[in-house]
Amino acid sequence: MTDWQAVAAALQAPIQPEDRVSAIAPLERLERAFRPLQQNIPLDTPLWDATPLWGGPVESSPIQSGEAQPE
Amino acid sequence: MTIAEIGRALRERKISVVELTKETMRLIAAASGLNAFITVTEEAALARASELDRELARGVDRGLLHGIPIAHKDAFYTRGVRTTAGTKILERFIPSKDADLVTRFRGAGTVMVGKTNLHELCHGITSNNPHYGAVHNPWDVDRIPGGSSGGSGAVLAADLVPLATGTDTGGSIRIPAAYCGVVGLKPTFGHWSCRGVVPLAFTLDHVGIMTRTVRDAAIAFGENPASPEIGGPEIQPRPSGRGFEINDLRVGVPENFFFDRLDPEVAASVRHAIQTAAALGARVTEIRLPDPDALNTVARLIQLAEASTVWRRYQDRREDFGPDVFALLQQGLVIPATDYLDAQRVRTLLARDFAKIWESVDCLLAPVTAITAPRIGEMAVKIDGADEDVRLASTRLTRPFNVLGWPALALPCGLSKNGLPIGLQIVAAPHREKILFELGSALEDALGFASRCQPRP
Repeated sequence: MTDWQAVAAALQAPIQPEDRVSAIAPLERLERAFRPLQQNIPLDTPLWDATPLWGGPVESSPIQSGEAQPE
Repeated sequence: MTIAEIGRALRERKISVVELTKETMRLIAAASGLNAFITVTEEAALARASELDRELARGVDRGLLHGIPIAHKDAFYTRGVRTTAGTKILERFIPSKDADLVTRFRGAGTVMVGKTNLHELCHGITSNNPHYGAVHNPWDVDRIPGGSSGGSGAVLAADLVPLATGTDTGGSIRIPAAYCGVVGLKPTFGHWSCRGVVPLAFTLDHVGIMTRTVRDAAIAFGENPASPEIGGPEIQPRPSGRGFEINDLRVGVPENFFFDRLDPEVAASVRHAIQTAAALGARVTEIRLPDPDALNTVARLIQLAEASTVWRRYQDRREDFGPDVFALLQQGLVIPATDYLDAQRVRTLLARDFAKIWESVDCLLAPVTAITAPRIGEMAVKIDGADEDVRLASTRLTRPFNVLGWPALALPCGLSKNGLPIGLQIVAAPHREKILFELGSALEDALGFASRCQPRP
């Protein structure tokens, strides 16, 4: 299993030590459920096709531009 | 009132759009304790109503939604009107364009009366928003309305408007529909564009609608039921006089997963609805589904990673996030790219397996949630003597259909002993929404929930 503590600490902007407990326990549960599914994927399995009608951003918003800053 | 009833009153000149809008504003003000709106747009709504009245006077009728009040979830961009997505980060964001779905409903003649409160970033199911306050459930104001489209659910349950928009990434339309005793439609993935909606998870997000009745949902979707009671310029009644037919519809009832660990009252109410469908002529059969829990696993992984890509640039502003949402965003940051991509590949395999069920059934019937609306602040509930996280008890039966992209309709099917609504969901193959309306309207009539049950004043 993944050492999530180490991963959380090694991020470019690391997860703060006080936040790691609440972040890591759910990840451990998720990993236990996901690894068995992951093990048997055939080599040629493509990604799920998510492109159909999603049309892209309607305009440049604070989310895209990073303009939303505190006063 | 329903869209159908309002439409009739408008066309018979019993009420004008301006009068209707003024009355809606009065109701919204009277129900301010629900905290269901973040922004109310009274001035713009009245101006728009006046314009629509002038159109009707000139003989211009845009159809069944002409003059209908609508509330948009505050995740939809609205030109010139603040759009927060329930986050402090966007508290001053005023879009210069409308979301595609807002444009669609504006063109159909609706009158936007405001923007509804929601779970922060749409990333949760309580609508207990740390920045804009908790939304209260009209059936019991100490309880959550569900979420993330909780404000939309509450304004419908309180009968403030007949139509609201919502978004659904893991159940965020259907869960508040169930907890508030109203109807929620998550159409097929991609049926309506998500353009102009603040994203949560790009490959799971759906936009949809919430109404008080299934027929209203059909009208808003554009699938008009041919009911003589509705009338209007686009509709001709069928000879039978019924809206839709369900004779010989093949209804599948999952024998695994969807009836495990349910509140007994939820199970009984949904079973009763299934028996009702059979009595109405549907061919009901039990069906074993491949592995719904695997769908939930890949959905959670995908949602965590995708949401964190959207909001990563703000992770240094911890004080601007609620603790539950911040924890989820932190989790998404550490998921390896290879795990995310493998989750999308597992999704491909699961989708292939699940699609085979449409060879033997036309739709599925299942509960929306394992429980009725929890109390505000309640983190865990007891089911069959075991504690379960409120979020999981609310989402584990809805999330699978976001992964598959299948259309799903939530409608009320009964009340618990303590007077809380119980929700049923009908699920169909991609682009078969008409089946949802056929079975949903038949069950709505037979169960009589909409006409019989109202929240306490």
